[in-house]
Amino acid sequence: MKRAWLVALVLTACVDRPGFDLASVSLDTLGKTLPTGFLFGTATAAHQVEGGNVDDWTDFEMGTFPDGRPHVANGDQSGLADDSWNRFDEDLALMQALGVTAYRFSVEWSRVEPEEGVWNAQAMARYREWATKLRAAGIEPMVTLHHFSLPRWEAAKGGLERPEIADDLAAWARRVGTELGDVVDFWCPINEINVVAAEGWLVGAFPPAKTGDTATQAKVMANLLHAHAKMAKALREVDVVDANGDGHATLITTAHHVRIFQPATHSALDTAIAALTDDFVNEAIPRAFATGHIALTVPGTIDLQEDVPDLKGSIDVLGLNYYSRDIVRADLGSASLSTLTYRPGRPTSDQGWDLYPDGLYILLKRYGAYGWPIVITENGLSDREGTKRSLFLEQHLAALERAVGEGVDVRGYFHWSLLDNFEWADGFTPRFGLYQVDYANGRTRTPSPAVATFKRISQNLR
Amino acid sequence: MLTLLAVLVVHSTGDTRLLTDEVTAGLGVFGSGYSQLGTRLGDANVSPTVTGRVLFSGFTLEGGVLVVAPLVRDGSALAVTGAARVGWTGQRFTVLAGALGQWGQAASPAWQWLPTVRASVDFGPFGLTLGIFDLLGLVPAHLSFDLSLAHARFSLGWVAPIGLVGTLDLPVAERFAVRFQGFAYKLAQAEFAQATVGVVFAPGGLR
Repeated sequence: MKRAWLVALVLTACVDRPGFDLASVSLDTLGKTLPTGFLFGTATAAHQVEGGNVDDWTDFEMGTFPDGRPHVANGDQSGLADDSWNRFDEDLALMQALGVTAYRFSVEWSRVEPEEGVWNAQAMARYREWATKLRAAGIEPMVTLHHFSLPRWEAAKGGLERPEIADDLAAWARRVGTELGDVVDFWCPINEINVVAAEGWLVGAFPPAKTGDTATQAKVMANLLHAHAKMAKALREVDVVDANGDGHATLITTAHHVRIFQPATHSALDTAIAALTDDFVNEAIPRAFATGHIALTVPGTIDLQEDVPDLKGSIDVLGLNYYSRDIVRADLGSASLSTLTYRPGRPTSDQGWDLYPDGLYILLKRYGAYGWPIVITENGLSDREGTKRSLFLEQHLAALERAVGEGVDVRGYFHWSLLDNFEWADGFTPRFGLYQVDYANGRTRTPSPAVATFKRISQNLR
Repeated sequence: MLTLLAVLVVHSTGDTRLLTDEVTAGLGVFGSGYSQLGTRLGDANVSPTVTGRVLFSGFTLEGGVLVVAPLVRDGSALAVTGAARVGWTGQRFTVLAGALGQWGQAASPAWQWLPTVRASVDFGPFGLTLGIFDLLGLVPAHLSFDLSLAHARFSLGWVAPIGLVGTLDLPVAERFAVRFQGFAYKLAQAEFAQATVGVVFAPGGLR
């Protein structure tokens, strides 16, 4: 309590803004002080790039909201996506041209287990081939086991709302760990627990497209934390081969989506709601990993307290997905209690997201205090013309490198994404790729100007 | 602004009530933000205020303007709050209620409207004041103990859920006092603090 008072009193005299001049970033030196073995890679997800997947998103993409709007912008459907399922060798060559040392991709549950208990051995063999080829090319594979999409049969049973999803995902992890454990060490059981729950049950932009159901949103987060704990346990049991010889047969992470939530004004309401939002979105999940206890609280709306067996100690590395900053205006009439916007007058992505590298530095300093090594599992922007990605990459790497210089244990950075791809509810309009994909002309891949930047930085790594 | 003008030209005289006509001006330093493990997002601002109050017999009109201007780049943006309250003031009590509107330069929606209430009871040697979104909305709820000393007026209060607010008026002339005011409180994970120095001008004399 005494500490809280001190903090409050010094607020008037102190500010905590990094304020570093990113204009002075030099590509000649950027990344040179990062630790030896730093993972510098790109990330994708199966449903967004592979093409030909049939899962709960396939059904969602064909649906409409009650007012007639398509679930996905422009009525886009993932369809063939980037056809990466059939063009992996080409994509691997792109990665090699970039000079990546790691690649994060997901294994599509619906492809490997299209019907409950029916396994597609050929599909699993292809993922195994990918991991093997990556390793042979000196690229460390990081495998995500749940990246937003579910098999139809799992969704039909109730999907993420059922507590039993934890056991089903654990069985899935056990299967993949058994099949790929000798070529994969780095595992990300679930991508963005907070996002899949918010988009599916609060915003309604992901399946099952429910809105304002904050109680189920919290329950889904809890179910997925239970699932993560069981998946990690299963992976550690079955993956006992240290594929890269670093002394770890398994490294378990999570890809936790984090944002900067900044009050729109100094007012008590704006600031308190920003703090509540920050706690719910940013802090609740790492706190659960640290303590083994889920505490999700929004006054008058959510009060969920649960102990989760085996959750504490279930990650070896904290993965952070960082994109942007939100300006928070209190709105007590909405389920989220706020309206989120972007700060006017700032550089933005094509989607209007505030490009805010300071936020990465702030969050690395914050999460470094937990003591886990950190990997940036996603960071990127939509940039159709390719004019902003180079500077974005330089600035965010500079922010990361500064945090490392100040003692934060950051072990890797994955840029989202290798390729333009199917951006979920926003369809194919946002372009996140280091390589631009021409969907009208054979899905040809063309390097954006940031490819050269990425390559320069990769050459500076030790 | 109309209230301020009214104070200067229509102040009441010869009427002993709990409140008097007055104009105040202050300059404060205000900080707000929230803390999480390892880091804190905090903003320091300069916060000038002007308030006025006028009584027409017991009918009371009160208003003011608060500007909160950031002292650092990239924090909460400029905000301006205007407040107006009306009510009744007797010899031993006052009840004032109204609304405050806050405009935020970077906020969407730009305007935020809140109720504001201030009620006081005088028990002779001491008094009690309840405020809701008082001090131009900066303090969500407080209950203060008011004391008139020989050469000063003093108020110390509890801010819900946890915090303190205090005011000290030191008369420097028959109609003028110097006001020191401050608060610090915590609401959810958010923290707020302000220190203000100002002047009080009471055309009919300080109470």
